[in-house]
Amino acid sequence: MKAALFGISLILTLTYMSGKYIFLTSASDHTVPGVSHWLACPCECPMVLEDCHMSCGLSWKNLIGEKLKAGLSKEDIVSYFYKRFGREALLTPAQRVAGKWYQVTRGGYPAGEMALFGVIVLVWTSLLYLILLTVYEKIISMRKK
Amino acid sequence: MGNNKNAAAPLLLALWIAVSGVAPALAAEDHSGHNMVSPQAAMPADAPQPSGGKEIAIGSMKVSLMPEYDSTSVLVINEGKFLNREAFPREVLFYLPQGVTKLTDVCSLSPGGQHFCQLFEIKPGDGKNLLNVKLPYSDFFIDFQFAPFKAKPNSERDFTYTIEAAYDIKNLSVVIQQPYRAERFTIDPAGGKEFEKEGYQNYRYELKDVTKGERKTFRITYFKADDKPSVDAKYTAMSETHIFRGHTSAIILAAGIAGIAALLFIRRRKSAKQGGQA
Repeated sequence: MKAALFGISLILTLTYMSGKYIFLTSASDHTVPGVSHWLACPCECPMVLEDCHMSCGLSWKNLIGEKLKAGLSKEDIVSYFYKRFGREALLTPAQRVAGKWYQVTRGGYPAGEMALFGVIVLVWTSLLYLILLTVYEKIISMRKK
Repeated sequence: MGNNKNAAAPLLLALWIAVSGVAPALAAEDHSGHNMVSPQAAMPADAPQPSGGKEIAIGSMKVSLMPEYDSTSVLVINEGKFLNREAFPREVLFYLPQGVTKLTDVCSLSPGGQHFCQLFEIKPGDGKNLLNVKLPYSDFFIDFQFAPFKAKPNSERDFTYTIEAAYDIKNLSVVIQQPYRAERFTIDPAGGKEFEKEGYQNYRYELKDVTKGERKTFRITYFKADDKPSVDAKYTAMSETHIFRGHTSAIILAAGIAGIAALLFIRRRKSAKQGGQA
């Protein structure tokens, strides 16, 4: 039972942490990373624009910077890219997952942050496991009574 | 706590699988549908067949040097085309400056203009690093960050970049971008053709018939009062993607550890109480 609880904790923590990172961004909507999180890399790669540093990606980021400077909001800029470049400029959830996975496998993140991500998953899995174990033991003791 | 120790083993294994070498192997499979392939795993179906170790040459190559463009280092982009289209796919060699151990991307372009980004290997060489990559097509696109100086406010930047040809190059074009807010910008050798593109001052050098092993060195010096990249200083640098921003990782980690400590304390107190009652 303890192994099952730990497995559940691990899956929940990994899903939450990865999902949070893949689908949300902590960067502000008024910054280039904040806006480029919502767009696809234009270089025929599966990457999310925020991770793309090829010249084609950089020119899009530059364009985002110019639009932000001109006072446009994130929604306005995403809509501009959609109108100008079509559906290809946006990301489906599957493309977003594939893009982030590619970024992980190509070593696109600093090793220290990857290790830290692992430690955080480990710590929060342990915490969740302890919570689930406490609840489980409580239920068992209540049943015994 | 003993149970926790046992339980940590599968977690560590799972993390190791997710983060370490197993992942790239899976990646080739995962991304074959997205043109991000290992050379062995998924060459495009219409790619020509290899034609052995025949001598090859580059027809045209453009090297773009963009100091402090989107980060405090120099963005280098090499793009070009080998003359011998029929010789591809094959493994090719490029020379990188010493210190460059990681590329942002190395891709091959299909005739349709699609990028087929490749896995690569960088080995240390004599005064330079060697990049071995198997290209499915004769077109290539390589970009990386080179950090020859530490950008400090109110300081002179002075660095040299050497292009060493691993193959004969018929037409080599070198474009050097002047960073925003740079003063006293000089390039040695002088004489590059000046042009403006997207608000940036650029200098173009056209070189013909560069032979294999020939070295072309450019010394770039300028003064900059700030240490911010050209891409609007208000925005964060974009050369490296981060998982966490600011102190979020420390806060999440500290909260998790505090939670574990609190729970363990409560559990211990409870079991001590139960022990006392028994």
